[in-house]
Amino acid sequence: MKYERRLVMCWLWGLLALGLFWTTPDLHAAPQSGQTAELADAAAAVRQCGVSSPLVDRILAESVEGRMTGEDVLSLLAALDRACASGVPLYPLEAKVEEGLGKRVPAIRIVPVLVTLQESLQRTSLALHAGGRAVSDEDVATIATAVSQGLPFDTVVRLLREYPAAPGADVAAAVKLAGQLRKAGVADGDVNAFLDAGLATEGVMPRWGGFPRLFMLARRQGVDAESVMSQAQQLLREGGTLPDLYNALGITSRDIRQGTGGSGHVSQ
Amino acid sequence: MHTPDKREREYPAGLYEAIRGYEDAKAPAELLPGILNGLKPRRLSLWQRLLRLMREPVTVSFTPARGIATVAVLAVALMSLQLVWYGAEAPVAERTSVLLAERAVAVPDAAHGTVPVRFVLADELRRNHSVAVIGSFNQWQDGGYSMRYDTAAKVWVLDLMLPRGEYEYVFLVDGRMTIPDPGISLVREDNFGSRNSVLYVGDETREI
Amino acid sequence: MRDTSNAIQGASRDAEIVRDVLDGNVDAFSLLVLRYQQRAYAMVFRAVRSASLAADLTQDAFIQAYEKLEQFSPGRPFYPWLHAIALNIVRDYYRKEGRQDILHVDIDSVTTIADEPPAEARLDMDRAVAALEQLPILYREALILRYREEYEFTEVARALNIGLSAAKMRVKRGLELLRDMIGGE
Repeated sequence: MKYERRLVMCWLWGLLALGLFWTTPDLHAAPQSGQTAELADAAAAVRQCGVSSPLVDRILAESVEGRMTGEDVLSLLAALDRACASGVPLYPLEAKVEEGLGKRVPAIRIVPVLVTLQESLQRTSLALHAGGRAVSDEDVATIATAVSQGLPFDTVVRLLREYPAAPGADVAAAVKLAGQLRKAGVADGDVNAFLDAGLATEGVMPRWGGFPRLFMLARRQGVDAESVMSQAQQLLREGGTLPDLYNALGITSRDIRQGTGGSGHVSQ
Repeated sequence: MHTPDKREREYPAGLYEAIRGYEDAKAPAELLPGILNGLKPRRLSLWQRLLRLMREPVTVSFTPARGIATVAVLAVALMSLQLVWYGAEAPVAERTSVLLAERAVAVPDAAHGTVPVRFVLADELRRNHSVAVIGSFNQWQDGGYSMRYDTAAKVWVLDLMLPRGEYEYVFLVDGRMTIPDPGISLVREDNFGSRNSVLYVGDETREI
Repeated sequence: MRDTSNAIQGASRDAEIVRDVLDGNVDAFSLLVLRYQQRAYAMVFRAVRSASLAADLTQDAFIQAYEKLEQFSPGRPFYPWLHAIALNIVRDYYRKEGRQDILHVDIDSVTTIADEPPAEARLDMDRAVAALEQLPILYREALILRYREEYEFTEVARALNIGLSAAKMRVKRGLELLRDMIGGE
């Protein structure tokens, strides 16, 4: 009798234990390691602030797939978090991270680039917003990117000072052109003269975004830099457009389709 | 129609591997909010709902052991109210709020002003095993952007339709090394110590 | 990230979500989108080779799926049904736009990489992948549905809007084409 009762009790307890086991699944969830929890927190914080969620996923994937250590991922997330907290437009920084990840750049080299870009964005934002100018995130990003690629910030300051009425988009287009022309080897004097001609009228500069490319094409065809610049300035002063400059220089659409030749080309 | 013989049924194992490992292009982030913005709420009458409820197949399955355990748990629960009570954490709720936030994001206007673009990298001796194009048009991700090798022309080729605009890109070689396009003279520093090729897509006489 | 969970479990989860949506919970549809947008987008992208166009067409596919959701039979997996809708949208697009100039493989045509005997005895994975890219869309998608997504032939047939024996033929023919394109034995 006693034996049977004990057996029944054992069964009931056993079944109770089984039942609890089956009905409380969270009891056997694996505990998270310290760093995994830290990564999850950092990711959540960064997402909360407004950083692109797919980008955060992609950064986390670097650690999951073994291409980056947990520390590296944390440093990237921290850099994004700081930038996010500073209130600068995020997408140039996000794009830079995407570029770095895509090119397999180690995190230790990506972070300083982000820091520099963030500072550039902050400086630009302050300078642009002073004076009550109508400015968009895109304008800030365009100018900051040009500065981060080597354009002296003084150029930006000069333009802002001398054209207080120019809309943000005009200034941004001008700054971008300045950066690209300088890279192409145009002398500062010519660059400034070009910008002054363009900024004299509102809304012109953004329509000359394709000019650096035309400049390079013309150079490749043997036209010298000063000639291109002076013709461009002339046209700008007369209210001419980029297509007019194409005509003036005698560049046809056929020239545009081919690349430079050599080992690769892009037909457009 | 010919009868397949036994030999034809054998395919190299690598074939299946290639299919299984075939990578998808990454879906853009705006896809989900774009879809959600296009959905109109449904209005179903009570009658419709009742009908559908009646038509839904219902499956019930259990093992005897689990059946007994369930009964035991129920019995114990009835007997004592000290069992662990947990509300099903509705992960759906969290996801819903995140999604609602995403729905608030403006969907970019997608005009079909795309232009066919062909990327080419010469490789006379086929020294590279794989080449992909990564750039600002695909978030620098190579999934779905692998180039194919044209043995006649001895070049790697990829054709894409891109919206008008300005793009930076490089070639990703063998999944680990990046090089700018040797055929493009317009380059830009990438701040990582190398350069990106710059591509303008669009009507050549119109600025971007 | 491919979903490797049990097919039956997956189907029943989808059925729950569909029921939810039909009951009026629009937000529940986003769960289906999250689960299948990657695959659907990738298939459309392979067909049209343009990210913005693929995004638009995929969007249309999901919206159409949402609007036709009553027609979906809950016992079955959701993706093949969605795949069929997306494929139809791609077909309609081709019909409207006519042929494209650049590398848009016509749905029913066959192209081959330059014929040449293989240099190595072992199969070159990159050539196999490149060959997959070259396959006409409906052979390639059949192979992916069968061997990567591991659907039964009945579901492959549903996804491609064709009959069961036609689906088997597609897969078989697709394998043959693939094998021939990379040099065969």
